[in-house]
Amino acid sequence: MIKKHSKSLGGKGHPIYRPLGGRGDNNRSSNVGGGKKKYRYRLIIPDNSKKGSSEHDIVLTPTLSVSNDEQAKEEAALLGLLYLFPKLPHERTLPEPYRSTFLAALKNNESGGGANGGSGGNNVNGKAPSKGDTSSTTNNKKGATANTQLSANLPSFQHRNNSNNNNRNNNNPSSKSTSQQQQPVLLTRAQINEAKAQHKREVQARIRKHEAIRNANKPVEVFMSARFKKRIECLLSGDVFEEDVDLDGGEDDEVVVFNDDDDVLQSYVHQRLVHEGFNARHVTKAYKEVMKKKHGSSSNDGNDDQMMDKTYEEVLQYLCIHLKEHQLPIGFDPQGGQLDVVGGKKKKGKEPSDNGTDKDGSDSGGGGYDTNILQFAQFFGLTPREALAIYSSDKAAFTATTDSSDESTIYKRAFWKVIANAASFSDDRICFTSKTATISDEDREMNQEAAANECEALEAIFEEGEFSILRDDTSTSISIALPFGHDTKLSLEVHYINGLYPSLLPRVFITSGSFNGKGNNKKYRFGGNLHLKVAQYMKDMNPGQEVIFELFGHIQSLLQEEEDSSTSSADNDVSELLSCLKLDGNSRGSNGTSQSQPETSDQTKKHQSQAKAGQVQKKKHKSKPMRRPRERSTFWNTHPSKTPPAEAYPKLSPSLARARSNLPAAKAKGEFLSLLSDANKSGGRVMLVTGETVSRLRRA
Amino acid sequence: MHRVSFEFFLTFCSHHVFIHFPISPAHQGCGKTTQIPQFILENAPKESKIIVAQPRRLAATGVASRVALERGEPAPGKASVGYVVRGDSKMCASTRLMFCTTGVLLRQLQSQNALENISHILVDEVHERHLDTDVLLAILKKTLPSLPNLTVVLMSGKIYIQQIISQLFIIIYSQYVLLLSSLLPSNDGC
Repeated sequence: MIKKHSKSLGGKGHPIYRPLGGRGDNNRSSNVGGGKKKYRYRLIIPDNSKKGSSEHDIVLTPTLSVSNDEQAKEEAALLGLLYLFPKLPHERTLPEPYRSTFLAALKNNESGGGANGGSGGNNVNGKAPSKGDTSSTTNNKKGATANTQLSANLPSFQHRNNSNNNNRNNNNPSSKSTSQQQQPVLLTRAQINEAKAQHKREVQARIRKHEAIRNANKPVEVFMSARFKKRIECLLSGDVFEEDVDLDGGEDDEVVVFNDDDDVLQSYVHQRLVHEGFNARHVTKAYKEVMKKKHGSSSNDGNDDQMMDKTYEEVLQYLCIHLKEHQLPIGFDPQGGQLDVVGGKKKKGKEPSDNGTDKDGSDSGGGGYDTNILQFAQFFGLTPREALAIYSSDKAAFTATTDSSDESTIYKRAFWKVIANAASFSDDRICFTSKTATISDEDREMNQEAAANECEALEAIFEEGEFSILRDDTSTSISIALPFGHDTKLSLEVHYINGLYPSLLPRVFITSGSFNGKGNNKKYRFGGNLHLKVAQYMKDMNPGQEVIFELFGHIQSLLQEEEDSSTSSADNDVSELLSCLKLDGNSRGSNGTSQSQPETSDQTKKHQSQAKAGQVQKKKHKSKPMRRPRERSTFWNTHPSKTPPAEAYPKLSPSLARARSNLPAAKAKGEFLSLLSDANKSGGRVMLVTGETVSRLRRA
Repeated sequence: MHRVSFEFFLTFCSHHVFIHFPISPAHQGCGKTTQIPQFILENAPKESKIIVAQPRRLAATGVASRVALERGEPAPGKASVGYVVRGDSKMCASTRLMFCTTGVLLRQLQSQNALENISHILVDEVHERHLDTDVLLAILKKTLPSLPNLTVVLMSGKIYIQQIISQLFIIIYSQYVLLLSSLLPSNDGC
């Protein structure tokens, strides 16, 4: 059995039994006790994993001798079994009396009692039951009596009974020598794993400890920018630090140390511009650039004061041109209207100069008018003279800026103000200018509902692309395309505040393209008079009703008049709007001084002759019937003879043709058509067709 | 088919066409709404421009789709059939048969000479007595003399006509239409 189990352990060879010839202490003591028990075997379980070395062999020796040779061998085997497999329940498989012996040996080893101790062993030996003796004498072959004192120096139990083992070793030198000789290293797998884990933890703890020591003493790297490094080096060496300025660089306003203390000019310009709010680095850079050019041109004349002021002006101009808008200090911001930054292509925010040219003296290409004036004129269909006069009359309104308003909105607001003033239109009747109107929430809801219904109706009437609505939280903008000429696209723009229209009237504009667009609507030059007429027409309107469609019709009729009298000149119609405003259309400047017109006398004569011709044609036109203003789609406008003929698709499905032919109406087709022709001939032109309805049929 | 002369038709209509049909669940109706406009259009495909006024938007769009299908057109607004209702319109340059709601037609009639290019106006479901329909009839009655090329066809349910004949409601109805027309402002062009 032990042979079999030792194989399963692996590395263990066959057990070897060696008799002990009464040379041990136990043997002697047994002899002293009675001299009968003289057989004792030592069990050796060799370790085959290390051949030629007996250091790792397991040697088991019973502490007591027995009188029977076979029994001594069996007890040694039981000890080996107990040693190798202490946890296996061998008592289940062993027969009696081996089972009792095994259990006793197991109990003695677990309890670590006197059986293990030398003294205990002696006592037990002294009081050895006679059963074994008798059995050995009576039945020597059998040799199978239970030995309750069986025990050995089992190292696998030493960790449990360490103290007992120590006592035993101290009291029994022979046992001590035996245990020192054996010392087998046999642990359970869990114990081995635990020992490995413990060892690993210890190693890792040592690694962490050394790592913490290394981290604690790690050298800190300090990074420094090249500029700062150079500065420190200059400071340490005693040199003067000269800052390298980049106009697109940072915004740090640092103190600049000049190379030459005698450079009064630079310090003067620098201090003055920094005081104005410019960045010191920008000023230094600009000064360098200006001075480079100045040295190139070598135009250094005049006294020092003049030269300083001139240099200051040049540096200021350089800064205003090259700096970005957000880099300019307050007061130089072009959005504030204080100073204009001239870009390469687009000239924005310029005031018109007195002589009709730009500030730099160049002609803007619009007959001497400023770009903004031309845009304003083109957008609203004004002549440049009209636009300039209107602009000059209320420049503050045209240049007023708010955060949320774009340029076109500002101009619309200002232009409507001028138009309302010309038409003597009360501000209280307009959505945007009313200050006294108090509208309750209920009225606001009703107004919003009415406006929404009108928008829906307009959407239904107009085709896609002709009608657009732009809504936000507070206001609504409606744009309706107006047909005028062949290549000119005008649009009616209606602006109102949500909840106030139709209780209050909206603002209405007839515009041409976008405000900043490059449209060339040469035909649309009567916008001033047109807006004035619309405002006068709105003046007679009663607030509270939807007016957009009505305004559209009226404006369309006005446009039709203008289209019919297409030869009327634009520039000669200034008087009607400007006369209402009591403005002089020839004035060009904001100061109202009259300047010479850019047009020649020949052009004036030509315009006057065209004006006369236009007036004649207008008189002729008044006798013509007014064109229908409302309907816009081609269906309502096109005569049946100009509409493509209605031809049904020739290949109809048989089921459809059958369904049509089966209807009662199909049988009455001929009679219906004959009656229809009769009705047309007789002049009645009204027919009543009766027949069963679907609902009636279903009920039936 | 027979001609009926009532007080109502004396004041308003010149002809009355009564279309018979056998009552059968298989039939949708007698075909007034879908067939009469097509008859007119097929009879004069180059001279006619027809408006069919329906009291409801759903009826206008649905009938337009059906008529377009029967004419072999892909959809309303692609060829000769179209419709205009509030918030939606399908029409093109070749549209000759337009289905619309009575309200849209009334809105259109507010403009001058709105019907100068229209050859036929078909007013459907006149027996339902909507306010819009009554006003439309009044306007048509008022402006018909100034539109020599326009023919008006009223389409109504059969049973209702018999009911109003029995109740002599026709006279009242005609007087109501006349009253409405007298209330309208005098304007030659519509």
